[in-house]
Amino acid sequence: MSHDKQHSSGNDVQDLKDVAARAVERALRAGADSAEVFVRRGVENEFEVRDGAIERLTQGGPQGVGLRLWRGDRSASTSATTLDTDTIDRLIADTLELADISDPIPEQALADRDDLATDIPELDLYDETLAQMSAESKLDLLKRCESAAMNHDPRITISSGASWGDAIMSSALATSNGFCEGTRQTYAGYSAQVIADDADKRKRNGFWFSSRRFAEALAAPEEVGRIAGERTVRQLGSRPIPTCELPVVFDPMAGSALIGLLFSVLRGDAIERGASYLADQMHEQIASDLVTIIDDPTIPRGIASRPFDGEGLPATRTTFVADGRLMTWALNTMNARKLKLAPTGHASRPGSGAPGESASNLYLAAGTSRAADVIAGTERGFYCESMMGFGFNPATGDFSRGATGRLIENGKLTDPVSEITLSANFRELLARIDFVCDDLAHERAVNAPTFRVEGMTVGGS
Amino acid sequence: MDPFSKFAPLGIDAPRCGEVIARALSRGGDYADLYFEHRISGALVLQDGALETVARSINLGVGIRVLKGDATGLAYTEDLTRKGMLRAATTAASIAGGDGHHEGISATPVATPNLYPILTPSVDVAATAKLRLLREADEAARAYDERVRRVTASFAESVKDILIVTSDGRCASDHQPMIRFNVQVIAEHEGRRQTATEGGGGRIGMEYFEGHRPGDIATQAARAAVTMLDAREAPAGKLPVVLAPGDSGILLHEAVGHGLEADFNRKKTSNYSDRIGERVASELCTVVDDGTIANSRGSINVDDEGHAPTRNVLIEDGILRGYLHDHLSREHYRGGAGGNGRRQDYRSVPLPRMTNTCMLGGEHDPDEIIQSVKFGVYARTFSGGQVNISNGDFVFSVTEGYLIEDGKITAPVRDVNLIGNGPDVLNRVSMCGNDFALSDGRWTCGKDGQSVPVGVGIPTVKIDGITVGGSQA
Repeated sequence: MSHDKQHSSGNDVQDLKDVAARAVERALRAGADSAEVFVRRGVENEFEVRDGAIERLTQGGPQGVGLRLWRGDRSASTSATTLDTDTIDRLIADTLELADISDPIPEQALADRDDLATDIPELDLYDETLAQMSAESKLDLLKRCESAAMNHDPRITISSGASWGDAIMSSALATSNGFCEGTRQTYAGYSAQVIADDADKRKRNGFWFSSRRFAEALAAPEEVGRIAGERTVRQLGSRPIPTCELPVVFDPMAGSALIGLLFSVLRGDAIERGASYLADQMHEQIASDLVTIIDDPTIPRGIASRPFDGEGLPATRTTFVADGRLMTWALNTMNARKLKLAPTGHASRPGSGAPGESASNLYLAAGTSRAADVIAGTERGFYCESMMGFGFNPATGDFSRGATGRLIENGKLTDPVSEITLSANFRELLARIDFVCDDLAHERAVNAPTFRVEGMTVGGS
Repeated sequence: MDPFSKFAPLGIDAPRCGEVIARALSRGGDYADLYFEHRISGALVLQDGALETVARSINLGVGIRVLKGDATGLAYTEDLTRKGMLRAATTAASIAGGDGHHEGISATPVATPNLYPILTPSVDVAATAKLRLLREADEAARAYDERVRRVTASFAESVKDILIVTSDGRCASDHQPMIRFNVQVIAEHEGRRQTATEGGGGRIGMEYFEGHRPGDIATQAARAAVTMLDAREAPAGKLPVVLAPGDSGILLHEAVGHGLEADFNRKKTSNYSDRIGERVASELCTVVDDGTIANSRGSINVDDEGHAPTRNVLIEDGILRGYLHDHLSREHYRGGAGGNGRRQDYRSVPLPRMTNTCMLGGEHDPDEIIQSVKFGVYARTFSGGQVNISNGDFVFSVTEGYLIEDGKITAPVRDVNLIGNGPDVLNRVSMCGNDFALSDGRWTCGKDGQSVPVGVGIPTVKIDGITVGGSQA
């Protein structure tokens, strides 16, 4: 496996800052009134092992440039998969032509100079050793993980495979009002999925993973494999339950999906357009007082940490919901101006187009209950382990999704359940959270501890 | 036409490709191919009457793939110089660990149809003409009802040129246009909000808009948003459901389509594995995946492995007939139809994917189908679906749905999720309408992190019982 050393060296950030700054200068010379340039370059590797043998390797060095240029209050965004000077020059000319078509939107201007980050924190997001990690060691880890999953239980008969992905990325952002900074980040993660045969020709699949900034911090492959195996066999024999109202305990994996949905209705874009059911709820009680929702881009080695946002604003910890009360939206500069509020540093930087709004490390803060006690205190309920589907209407808060998990009977986890739906309006769902547990772990970008919703509608047989 | 013509200015010709393929096979791979892609995409977004987004992106790169048995090596690069491509070929070659030798390629062009005849390509039309369409939509939505508060109208277009060169001596190219026109409306009344989206498109030219006026599309969106303001809570439990023609084809995409993609069956991870010849649906169900429908969003003149598209019968009168194949699975099964090897882009591996997945029309009058239901749900539009390949459980989310009471469509119901199990639900298809319709170019399918455009189609269909995830227990 060959690596292009230049792409993974520490000097790459300085090179990219130079590329971005030069592009800003050339855009201004070409007639732009203001300019913003984002560039990135890196190396990505993927490996997949199935039945103990390599099934796929993918390697590439993705790169790209994104431009936003203004003429007066008119702007356009363009992008290309190259950092070549001639192509960027052609892109600059195209972008200026496109900007002339657009309508003047004063709120869309560059971020205010006073809002831009000046102290860039060191968040320890770059694993120097990852570039040297051999393909053989990654394949060995996958084989151990797959084998642990397959050997977990004799009823597991088929492997879907174990896969690895890593990325070493550098990027830089430069603006014509004085911002020019870069970052370098690494990512490594792997997962395994295995299958057990069930009655009626059905199969049950279970999956587990570990992902980190630093390869050394990844969970042991035997552990990941064991959990994948465990999550597979505990679904054997699962079936729907009759339609009813039940308390629902969300495990950390399933619960984090609800926190992600809540963020989607806190984004300035949804608020400004009135597309969120929360649009007129600022400072109101929108959830039970056990609910505190935090976004923290400054967690050292955090999987979604970022030293500055997609417009160059400083990374700061935000409390969106404090003890159930709505405290702030997630705002990029444009939506903040439209709403006459201050931006919150949540501008995202998509590969192409203008900044949107995204969270970093988002989580439901830990409570004081113990998950075992909450289950023990639930006489009859549903323990939700995963959900599927897209059933969420941001404008109304109506929520309805497929779910799998286990029944809780007399305070104990009993029969596996699948092919049911869970539904509630989000207002009620959040208000009815009556236990939040102490088992928060930062495994993904969005996390939640175990929590319970006092009552939801289960649609079943 | 010479398949190399689009990429020739970049120095890409048959001898150069032959040299790269020889390097790709230098470690003993069985097969190699090169996939060149040049894609230009653009978007115009009119936000409440102001043209807020004007965007364009250009993607150019090559993916070099080597197969050895069931194993794949893929290296991609945006560096299309000889040196850049040879370096990537060396990486991809390493999936095979031995020595190999390849004589070079003959590069015989593959015969391809022209499934997207277009009069006026959108890229040749000035932005002002597209802006006029967006303004027409914006005005029509606002004029529909005073409860319409916000309107977002968007015009997205792309043209993708691809060139495929294979070590078994084939080459093919395609010029793939795509348009997606979309209107989102937010309605508000007495503190209640609702949103609805309508749109259309496909591999079409600007002439599409003569038959599909932007104002009509916007009026549909406004009508749905205003109607759904009064939606009541949906029922929960197992009920009869009537699916409207067209977009309801998402049922097929989730309930059977994914489960028949041969990669899952090769690995025996699908609930349809080893079931060819078995009954998996009621005898009213005949399901095809057809990549040859003119101008449809899911159609292709050539798949991403250089094979011409086909019409594949997946289920015939309820009996499972075949899988969807890519090159790898066809080698594995030593046969099978071609035309379903698709990839998102040069950075991704080809996989067996759907094109346009359709259930053929039956003999029932649609009104008769609705009249046959005493109490159930009528589902008209959907936000998406998902399936668990292994156990066959699938969901799809209804955004515009109504109650059926005593054979009549009555009150609108709030967003509701439907869940069922593939073979179980298809066995409960009890009536099939004579009003087959194809979706109007709006679906994108995701698999293994790769998105590809697809079509779906279905007539009015009655399912005797499927679990409806409302909140009225």
